[in-house]
Amino acid sequence: MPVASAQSSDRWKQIEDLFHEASRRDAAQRSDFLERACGTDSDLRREVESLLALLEEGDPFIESAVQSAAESYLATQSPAPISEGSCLDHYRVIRLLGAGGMGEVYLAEDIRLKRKVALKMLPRHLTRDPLAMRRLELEAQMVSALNHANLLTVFEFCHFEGRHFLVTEFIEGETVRDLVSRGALPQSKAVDIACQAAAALCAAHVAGVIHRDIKPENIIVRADGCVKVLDFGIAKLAERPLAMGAEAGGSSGTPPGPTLAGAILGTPRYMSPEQARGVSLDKRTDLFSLGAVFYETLTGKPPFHGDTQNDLIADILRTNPAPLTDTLPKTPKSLQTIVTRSLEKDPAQRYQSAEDLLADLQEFQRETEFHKRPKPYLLWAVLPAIIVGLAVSGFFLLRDRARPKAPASPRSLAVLPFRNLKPDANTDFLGFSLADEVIAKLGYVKALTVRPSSAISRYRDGAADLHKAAADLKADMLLTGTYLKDGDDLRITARLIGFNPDSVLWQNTLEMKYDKLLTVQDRVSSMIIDGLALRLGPDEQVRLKSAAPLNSLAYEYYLRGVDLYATSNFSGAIAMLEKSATLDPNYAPTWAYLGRAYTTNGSLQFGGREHYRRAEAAYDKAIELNPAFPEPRIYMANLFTDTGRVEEAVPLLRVALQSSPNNAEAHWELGYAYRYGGMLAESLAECELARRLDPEVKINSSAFNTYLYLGQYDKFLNSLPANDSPLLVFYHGLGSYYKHDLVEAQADFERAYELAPELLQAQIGKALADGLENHSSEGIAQLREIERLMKERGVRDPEAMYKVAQAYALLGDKDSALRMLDATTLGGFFCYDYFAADPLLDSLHGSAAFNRSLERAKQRQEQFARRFSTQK
Amino acid sequence: MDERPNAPQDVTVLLHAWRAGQAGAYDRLIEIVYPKLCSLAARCMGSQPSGHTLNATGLVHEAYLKILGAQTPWVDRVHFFAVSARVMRQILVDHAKANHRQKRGGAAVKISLEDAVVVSPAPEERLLDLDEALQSLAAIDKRKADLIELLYFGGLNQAEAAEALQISEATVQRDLKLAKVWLYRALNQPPDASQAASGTS
Repeated sequence: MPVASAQSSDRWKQIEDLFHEASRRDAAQRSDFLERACGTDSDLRREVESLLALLEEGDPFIESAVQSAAESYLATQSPAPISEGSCLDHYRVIRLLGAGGMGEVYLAEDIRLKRKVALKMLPRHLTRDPLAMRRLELEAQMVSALNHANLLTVFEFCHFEGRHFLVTEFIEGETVRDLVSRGALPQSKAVDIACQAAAALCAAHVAGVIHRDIKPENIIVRADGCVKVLDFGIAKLAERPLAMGAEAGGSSGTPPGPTLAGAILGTPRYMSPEQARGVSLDKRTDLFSLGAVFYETLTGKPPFHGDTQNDLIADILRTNPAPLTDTLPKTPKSLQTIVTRSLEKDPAQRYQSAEDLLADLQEFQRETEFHKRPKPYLLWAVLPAIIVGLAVSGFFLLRDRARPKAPASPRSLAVLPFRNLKPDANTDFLGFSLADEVIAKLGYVKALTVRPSSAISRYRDGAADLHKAAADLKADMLLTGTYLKDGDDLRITARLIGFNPDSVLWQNTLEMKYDKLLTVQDRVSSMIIDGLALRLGPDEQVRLKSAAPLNSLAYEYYLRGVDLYATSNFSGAIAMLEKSATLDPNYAPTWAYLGRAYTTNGSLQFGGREHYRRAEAAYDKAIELNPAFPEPRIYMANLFTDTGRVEEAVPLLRVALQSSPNNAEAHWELGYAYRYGGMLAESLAECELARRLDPEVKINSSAFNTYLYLGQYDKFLNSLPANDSPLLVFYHGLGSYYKHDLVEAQADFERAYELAPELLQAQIGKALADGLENHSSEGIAQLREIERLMKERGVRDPEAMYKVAQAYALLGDKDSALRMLDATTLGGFFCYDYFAADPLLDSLHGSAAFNRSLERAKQRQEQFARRFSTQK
Repeated sequence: MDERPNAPQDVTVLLHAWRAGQAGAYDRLIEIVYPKLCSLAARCMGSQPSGHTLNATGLVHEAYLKILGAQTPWVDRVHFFAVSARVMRQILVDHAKANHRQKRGGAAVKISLEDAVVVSPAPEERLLDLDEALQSLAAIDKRKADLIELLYFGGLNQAEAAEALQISEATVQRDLKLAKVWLYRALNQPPDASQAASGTS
């Protein structure tokens, strides 16, 4: 600052005095004041005015310069390790899971949501640039928003007490590094892992996110075989130092110095040649790295070698890896071709997209599958059927000698809400909630199918005619009951009524103290089991005993929550259930109901990411507390299917059905998941079985779309209950459209919209009606608004997206239709067979873009079938 | 070296000696405080109590508690902070210079186009510019430069700064007002333009 330092102290004193004098005056008067004070000394005046002009400057530039320098300095100081039990924000650290070049990973519990999460600490030296951090956060959000089964979900980004970390879902499984450390994997396993990882890359690349650090440590294989790819975009943080290293080596192919890249990334073993050179990267870098990992899983050895990093990088740049046949003499040629194409040095010669790689891998799987034995999960699918058979033929025994023949299917029972003999706002909640508890308990008894609580809530105020109730509920037996609370005493009377012929099968009275409320479900359930002389298998006995609540107040809150849920007061239910969970966090049904209340509450708000997240955590907790409890798995599966994670839904349902093979809702949800994944034959079988077990299962909340997708339009229309639910009216319109009854279709669509203009399907119906009337511009405007709403509210259901695509296609906006069609497939609904034959998409046929979209759906459908098909 | 405690009395004696104008006392104080602050910075990271954000002035405060203890008379405390402010500034400048060299050193840094979009001014440069501007200010008005150092590197409040500089609080406020605009101008305008800056308003 030569100007300033040249000033004499007298001059400075003069400037200072004038500055303070002038700054005390109004801005308007300053000019006159300085004019007088400075006279002809224009330098002096300019100097003072230039300082005065900055007086209003509010920029905290000194603080921020010092603060950022201090942060930068402190960031270089090595942090203390995080001890077990300590808390980072609302995460309690349980233990260190691992540490790598990119920082440590801890297992922790989210204290608020009571779920296990993984905390990935980002090393300080990588977190200094706030813009780079922001970008990583955005990328992580983008990848998570894809909700792809093979992508690790990042819940949030935290900055807490100087530490940056990512909070992700906690996956129990082994990394591919763990697997490979024990040697080469069986070829089919290696191909399966590569397929799933390639599928993850497909999704991320479509969203514009490059991984940059695909390596065996970043790919986890869960016990059920599901593969998760971790840490998208994190390597980007470390990229600059890496590029610097490569540049230092020059562009002639000379390897860079030994420390730079390695210090940040651990090892460059899976790095692409372009990455090693430090030139700009695109998605093809990930394909090379995946190729390198694939090579290693097949052979047990990495493709490139070098004692030092320099040698290793030189090898990556120059050497072609040894052919697979060196290690595995019987390697098919087509597999070698895939590996070679993945590992091409020149990106232009390599696979150009993850989709191409995936297609070849799948083709290879198809080629080899003929020679395979059935996959282990086949057993899982067959087992429930075996159990159903056993239950029907062997376990079902009735003491009632009037029934000589064993019934053709498990006996169906409906438990009606109990009637309060002394109605009182403080005890009314017990009527429904106790029935619900008994229903849940009896759900474990394989010889019974019990009508779900949702079906009986309409009898809250009592059933005038038990015959009619039994007929409506398609139940062979009804359990009815009354209760009376008198001071601390509680008396419950229950009757089990059989129909055709009518008889009271059993009746009993329980007397107890009110604070023993939590024994009611057990005692009533066991009375029914004894009364029907049901012989239980050992597993059923265990399940019936488990999950007793410990705290009677918590139990009362729980029952109140159940009651509020049944009256559609979801926020009230959430409040009660959360209270219950706080008092007694170990009662699985509380978490299951809580998850359901979060889900429903979220769905009513057209999505609600946070609600869904809480729901998932609650279901997880319920399953953890009681793995045999089917409801949380069923509800969670529904949530997964609706939010694009159908691949995770199927295993949950298969487990639920193993313990509760007659659970109609579980069968329905499995059929629902198969439908999303395009396994229509299996979907049809499951949904029809579900409706046989319980003719009313989800009848008002889920249409039998499988019929529609299979072209069985009459069956579809007949499956819809005749009522005025706007959702069902919409579906009636859709069925009519497919039957070419366009007048009826249009009338239905318009009526659904009249009934519920806020309902998403009704809005889509409105656009379809516009299309039928050739009101294209109105229809398209309507769809744009729907898209906006879906985005704003976070609606994830890909089947709904498909309907938007259909409406666009009908209205002639092909580009938008194709865009939504791709979003549908990516979002987790990929019923290719239906898409390809759908007359609503007729306008798209013949375009190359449509064929590509269909191809994507086909790939996912095939991948899904390979994982889940129960047929040879 | 930071494990050998300096007895609080020694530091207090040095502080008194410094105030009395004794040669060498100030340098000796700096020698004690510098390593203490550095080791504190390393040790405090990650073990901070909840809600405590570690920053430059927080570190100075920690150092004060570690070296002198909370019972120290106010005047000694003020002077200790004054020394620490200087040390803190020195630490940050040393660090910034080292980092700056590292970034500039060796072959030219290759930054891809994608990166170029998000380049932000490095914290090192901002601090070095501030340090340079403070040196220029000190050349024409040392008291004002010292004041900025005390307030922003040492975390002293205005009353403490007034005591440290042996001036009134009103003068602190007047000095601060001018020093801030002067520094802002120095940092935001090229040197040759600062004289000819917007004169009309």
